[in-house]
Amino acid sequence: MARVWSLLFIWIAILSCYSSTANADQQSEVEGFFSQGGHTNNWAVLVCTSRFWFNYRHVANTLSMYRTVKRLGIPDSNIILMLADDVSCNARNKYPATVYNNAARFLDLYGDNVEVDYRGYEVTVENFIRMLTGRVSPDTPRSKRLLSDDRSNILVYMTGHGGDEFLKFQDAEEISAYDLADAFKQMSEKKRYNEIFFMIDTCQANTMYSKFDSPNILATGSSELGESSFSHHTDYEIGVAVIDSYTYYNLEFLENIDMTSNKTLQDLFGTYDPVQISSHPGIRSDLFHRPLDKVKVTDFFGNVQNVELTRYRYPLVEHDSWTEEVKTTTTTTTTTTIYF
Amino acid sequence: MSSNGLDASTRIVVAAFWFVVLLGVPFWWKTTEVYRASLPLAEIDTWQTWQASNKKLNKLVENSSNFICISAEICKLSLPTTFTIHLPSPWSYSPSELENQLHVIQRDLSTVEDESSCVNFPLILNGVPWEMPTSWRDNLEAIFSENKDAPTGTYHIYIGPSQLETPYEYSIIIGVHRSHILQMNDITPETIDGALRTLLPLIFLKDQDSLSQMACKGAESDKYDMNSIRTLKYSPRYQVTFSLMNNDPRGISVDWNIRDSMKSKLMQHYASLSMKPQFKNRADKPSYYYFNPEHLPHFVNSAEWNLASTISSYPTINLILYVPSPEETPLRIHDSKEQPLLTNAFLIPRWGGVVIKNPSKKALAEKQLNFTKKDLQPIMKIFVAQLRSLMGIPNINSMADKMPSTVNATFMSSPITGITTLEKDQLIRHRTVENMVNAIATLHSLQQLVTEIPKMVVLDHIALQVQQSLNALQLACDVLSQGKYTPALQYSIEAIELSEKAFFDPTMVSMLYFPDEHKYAIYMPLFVPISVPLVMALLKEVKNISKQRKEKRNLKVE
Repeated sequence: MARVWSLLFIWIAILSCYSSTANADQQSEVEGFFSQGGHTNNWAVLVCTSRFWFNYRHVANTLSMYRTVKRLGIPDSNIILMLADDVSCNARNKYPATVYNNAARFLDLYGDNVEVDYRGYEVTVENFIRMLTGRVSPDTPRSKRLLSDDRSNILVYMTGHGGDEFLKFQDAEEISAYDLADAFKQMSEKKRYNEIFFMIDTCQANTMYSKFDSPNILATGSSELGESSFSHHTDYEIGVAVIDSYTYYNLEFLENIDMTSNKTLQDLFGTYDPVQISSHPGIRSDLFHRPLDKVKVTDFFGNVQNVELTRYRYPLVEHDSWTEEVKTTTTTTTTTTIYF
Repeated sequence: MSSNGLDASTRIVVAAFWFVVLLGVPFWWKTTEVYRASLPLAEIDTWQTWQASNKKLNKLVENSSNFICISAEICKLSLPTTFTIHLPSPWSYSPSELENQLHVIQRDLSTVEDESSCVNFPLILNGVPWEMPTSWRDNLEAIFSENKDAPTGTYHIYIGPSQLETPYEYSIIIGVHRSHILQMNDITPETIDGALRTLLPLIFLKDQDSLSQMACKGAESDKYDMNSIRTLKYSPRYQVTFSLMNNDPRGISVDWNIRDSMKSKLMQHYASLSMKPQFKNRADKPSYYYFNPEHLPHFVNSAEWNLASTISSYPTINLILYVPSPEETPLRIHDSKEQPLLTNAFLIPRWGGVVIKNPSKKALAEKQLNFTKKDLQPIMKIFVAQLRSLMGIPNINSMADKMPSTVNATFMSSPITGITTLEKDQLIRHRTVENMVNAIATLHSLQQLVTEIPKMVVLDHIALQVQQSLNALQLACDVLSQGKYTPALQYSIEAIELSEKAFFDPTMVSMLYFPDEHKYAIYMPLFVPISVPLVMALLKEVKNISKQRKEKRNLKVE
């Protein structure tokens, strides 16, 4: 009896060894570097909804975010930048063709290499929703389309003047929290994103994300219901406020990050101090499935790509023997075309 | 008398006003309604259920709450494969014995009427005699070039005796076209039975698992599955961009004869790819002589390199040939075991690939590096390997490694076209099922949207596109069950394109949300001032009438 049992044990041990080596074979096949969260590309949608010279700071907010995501690797083809007004060439700008986000004016945000996709009066609620849901008219150029797929992580940053469940566009219309939630729901239905990070800097910003109910959306806003968001400081030479508080403190953290950084969103949120920011920032993570201390900042702000090492070459016909082959194959292969 | 007349005319006036109001209300209701064409929602629902069967009702399938088994006349997805086994004549066994044997194998290997799967894979096996030429081993090419025009999904296996006593039970050579050669030690119905049962699922029917998973689980794929991360999604066209990157143009100038290389290496079978060579001069990157795998994700400096094209909105595949500057030559890539890679190349899933080519000492001395067609050839081999991975074609070397010890499998490669017919068949099947599943998912999303947002306008042409998409799906399914894969692929492409066109139609934007207070605020100033006098007049008239009736009754009683 004991012998039977010991034999059984030996068989089980051998079989389990076999299966584990089989697994190891599977895993060792694919070598390289892979992101957690399963995304393969990144998009950024940066929207400034305010018009007029005294809303200089909103344009500066958006351009600072633009500069950050570009620095961390997202290319212009994957960034949709919407600026409702052109403050750099405004007649009241003491330093024309520049936009600064700091009174010390170290860094010109509007220097070379800025690509604005929707400008001026093109920034409307309708265009914004059409761009998000993909229902653009057929003649829209590629730079104005959000060509994300089911493995895209999208950063959506909005700034401007807002209120209880609305955001004002151009001083003429508003987008409500319901419309935004609907747009994200349509995106989720059509699998146009893997994860969305929604960041909004306006008065009563946290109300804008209260109506979301699609999966994998992480949202953060600058102030609670009934609270205003304040600007950080004014540049007295230019004459207007140049940056908002909430964005300023976010940028302080992001300026210390580079492409290779492993800092997580938990670290970013940990630096939020309501006293410094002068309002209570909010975070909504109930729709987001990954724990925040495992989500890297570069998962949304950067463009860290998966990599797989190529070990094999595919044998092709040698150079010298090409000319004879081409005569025989042209006749037979013209009829077959592959539809991929 | 005059008061009666006055009463009567008052009543007529009030009645006239009210008549106009009552006539107007349905007009107003109808004209402020959102136009919604009727969509075949029920049909979309039935397509959601792949597991249509005529047997039991209401059988819930595990892990997919969307798929409920109901008895519907929906076409069940069926992907038949036909094998013709060529056995050397004369046969030492009777044809009927062979036929019975083949029938048994056919029945066992076909997965038909399997309740847990929503896809059928019927198998058809035929045995035919083959006049084996005496020195057939010297002229394998002749055998491989037979049956080139056989339809998709059919395969011909020529069985011949093994040359010497090999340790392998079966030696199979998978040809480039539709003929394959299997060599066995002795050929009897029993050994043929064993061979087919081992080899067919291993080599030819390998994709059945992934296909049935894709069809049954809908469009939800495993998030972390490497194949789904790496393979590009279906698109009618792809744009392939070849870029030559030179890190230091002052140190060395580079050029390449890419047009000729492209024409000769990547050819007609990639018909829907449009090629565009690019020439770049500047690049920036961190300075290393060796790259570890963790450093590679930051290699491609997308922001500076301007790789995006403005020509089309189709997905782009970027194939980059990178020449390091003289200061950082030689530059190699280390794998996870710290060994340098022979190919010096890596692939970025769903994006493209990079090959690093170090300039030779001669080129460094001359400060000039010209890539001729011959130089580009080894690089093209790597690019083709990467392009195949991106398209979802499995690697032949890794497939050969996975064979059990009794089987010696040689996968022939196609040096001219870069893809063998077996791989092409698998790709066609995969894309057909993928397109159909995605088309159904898109139509389902459309249905969800239309039902959930009652204020969304649905125009006639959308209903038409939806109906056409459903028709194309039905045709694809019908034609698939007959084994005609190429028209099935075309129908599936039609289905998905129509469904996407309908879903992404620019008119499908819902009206913006207005809270109820807004609606009151708009209608009240219009209707309240008119309705107050009307209602008051009506009440007064009603009171008058009831008073008069009471008086009449009192008079009568008295």
